[in-house]
Amino acid sequence: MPELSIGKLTLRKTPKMSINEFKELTAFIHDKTGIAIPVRRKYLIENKLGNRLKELHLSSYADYIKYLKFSPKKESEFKKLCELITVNETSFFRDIKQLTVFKNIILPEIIKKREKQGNKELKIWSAGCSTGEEPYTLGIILHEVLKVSIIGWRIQIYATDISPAVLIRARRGIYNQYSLRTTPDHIIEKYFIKQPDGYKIHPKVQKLVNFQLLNITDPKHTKKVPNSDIIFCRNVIIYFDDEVKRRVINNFYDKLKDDGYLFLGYSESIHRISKLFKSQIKPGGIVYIKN
Amino acid sequence: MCSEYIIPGMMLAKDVTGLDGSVLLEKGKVLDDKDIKLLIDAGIDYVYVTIKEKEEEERFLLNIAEDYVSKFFMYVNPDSKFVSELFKIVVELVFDGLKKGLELPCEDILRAKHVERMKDLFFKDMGGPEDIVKHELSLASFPDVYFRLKKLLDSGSASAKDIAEVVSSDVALATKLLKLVNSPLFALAKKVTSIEQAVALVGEEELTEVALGLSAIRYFKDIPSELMDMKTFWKHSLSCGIFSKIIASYVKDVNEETMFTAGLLHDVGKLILFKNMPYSTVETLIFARENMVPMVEAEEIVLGFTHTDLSNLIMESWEFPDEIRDIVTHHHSPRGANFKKGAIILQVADNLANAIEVSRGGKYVVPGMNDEDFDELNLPINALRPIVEKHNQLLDTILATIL
Repeated sequence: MPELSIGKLTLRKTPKMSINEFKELTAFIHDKTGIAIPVRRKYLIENKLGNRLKELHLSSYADYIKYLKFSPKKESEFKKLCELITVNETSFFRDIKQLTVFKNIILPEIIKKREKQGNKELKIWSAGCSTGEEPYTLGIILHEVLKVSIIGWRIQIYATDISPAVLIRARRGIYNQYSLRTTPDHIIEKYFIKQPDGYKIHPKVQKLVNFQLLNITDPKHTKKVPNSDIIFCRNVIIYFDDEVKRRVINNFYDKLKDDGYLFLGYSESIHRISKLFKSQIKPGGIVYIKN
Repeated sequence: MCSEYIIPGMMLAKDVTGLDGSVLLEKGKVLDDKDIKLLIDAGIDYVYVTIKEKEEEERFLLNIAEDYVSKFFMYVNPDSKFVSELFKIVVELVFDGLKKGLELPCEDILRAKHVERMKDLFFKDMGGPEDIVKHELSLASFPDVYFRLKKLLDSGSASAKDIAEVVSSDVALATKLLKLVNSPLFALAKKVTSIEQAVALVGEEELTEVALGLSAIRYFKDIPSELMDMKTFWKHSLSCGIFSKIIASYVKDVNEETMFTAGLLHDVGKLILFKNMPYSTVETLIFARENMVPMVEAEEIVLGFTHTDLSNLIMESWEFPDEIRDIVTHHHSPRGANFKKGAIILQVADNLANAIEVSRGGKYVVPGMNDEDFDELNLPINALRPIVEKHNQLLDTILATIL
């Protein structure tokens, strides 16, 4: 009888994680990714990793931590872990007001400057690109602004993320209706190809983007990023504690050209954390320039 | 049914077509894990399914109910006896609903809508809760009738007649108040036909507090509907008010009417937030949903403050009774409250209200609470079910009364 089964239902679906196990696990995650997980999310982490324990036939989180640190498969397990603990709420043309600042103010300014300097090269870094919606959106905007003259430019959108799983999907370039919910119809028609399994981004946009695995909190990694005219890092640093945020801002400072611009997420700010950048208010959003 | 709720073993009742019109999966196919993943990846949100063996139907529905409800309980302590009981109550509600044809909302409906065209009062870090409240106060004033009532009460010599006169000067308020007081929620010995009678039976302070609650509803009439459905908001608030009042009847030394009003007004800070920072509010909703954390935690991270900070400031400006202000400000952190029992009751009520909403298509995770705090109420766990039943009987009728 279902009533009896409901009585027997249990909410605990995973082994219990002790405080020490939580501390060790989150220290490991913080070390390798910069992501800070507060203790009040302990049960959430238990639940998120519970299935993984089952799949690996492990009976405790202590065993899982050992597996992460010492197993011969630890590299691939770390990738799986990243997949489980990072979030991917993203869509094409997310935060249109801010992208309008990019399209109508910042981009034309940089284009004019580089043309004058006789250096028709644009390098944009999409840091924390997730499944690719952001870098492809930037590519679309470049096509919209430069139009046919795009052919005379050397453009590279360097799109990076710490999770290999999202990069695979980003390279594939196929998206569903939900990802396109804030994208104007005429853009969809122009830059996407309808397929049975979704909307595929047009090759002329795809070829502007170069996806790479990268940890933005590690200066050894970020050394490899090309010196950029513009850096986009939206809704990423919100997951870091202050110390890691500072490190990331330092890395951005080193990789941004002196007259370049930094775009952060709408609800993120750095003025409390670092004096390396100063903010400029534009209609619709804030941009940061080197101080 | 939404693709993400399908369990392997279910059978397609209709062909599923892809984006370009071709048939992806055929009617009659018994779905396995791979098929389900294909549907989800392709963004095919909704398919028609049936269950091959009719005898299996209840088992499938129970599994679906359990899976669905579990998602809203991922943040809370699974070993908490309060939370576990709540979980079972909600699973049963959803299971019963599914048997009667309840449709569980799909993931994309649960996600926050975007309000790309709305502007915030200021960018992050360029203002704080005080600025928001100052701005709100400059926009409109709280209904006058409340201040007049408060003045009367503070004078210490107000009669039932005096109070009735003030309330009656606001006909809409008087009408609602009478209807409310005559409802099963107050369960008065006999029906009252005048405010004076109501004051005599319910109490001067108590009636004033309920009048306060009703005035607040009127104050917030004009919030843009694309941001928040006001009916949903007040339904949750009323739900919390009703739970608070019922729980208060089980607990010593707590006034039921005070708890009702505190419950009704507990999320007033959120309204102030929506009105002044609509864009940031949506960012917060998105963060909460994506990270599966309660709204109050998302607010802390995204905004740097919470709706209770706003409630505290604005209730101070509006001269609300200290007890109500204290309880509302601490309903997510009862240990900091002066009227701790009241804050704990409100926290329990909020959890109950959230949990019940899960069974009605609600979007937010259950915030949870400490068992030690819950235990302070000496509320027996088996009282939860009758409390929920009583609440469910009352909610819709009372909502019609107050809106």
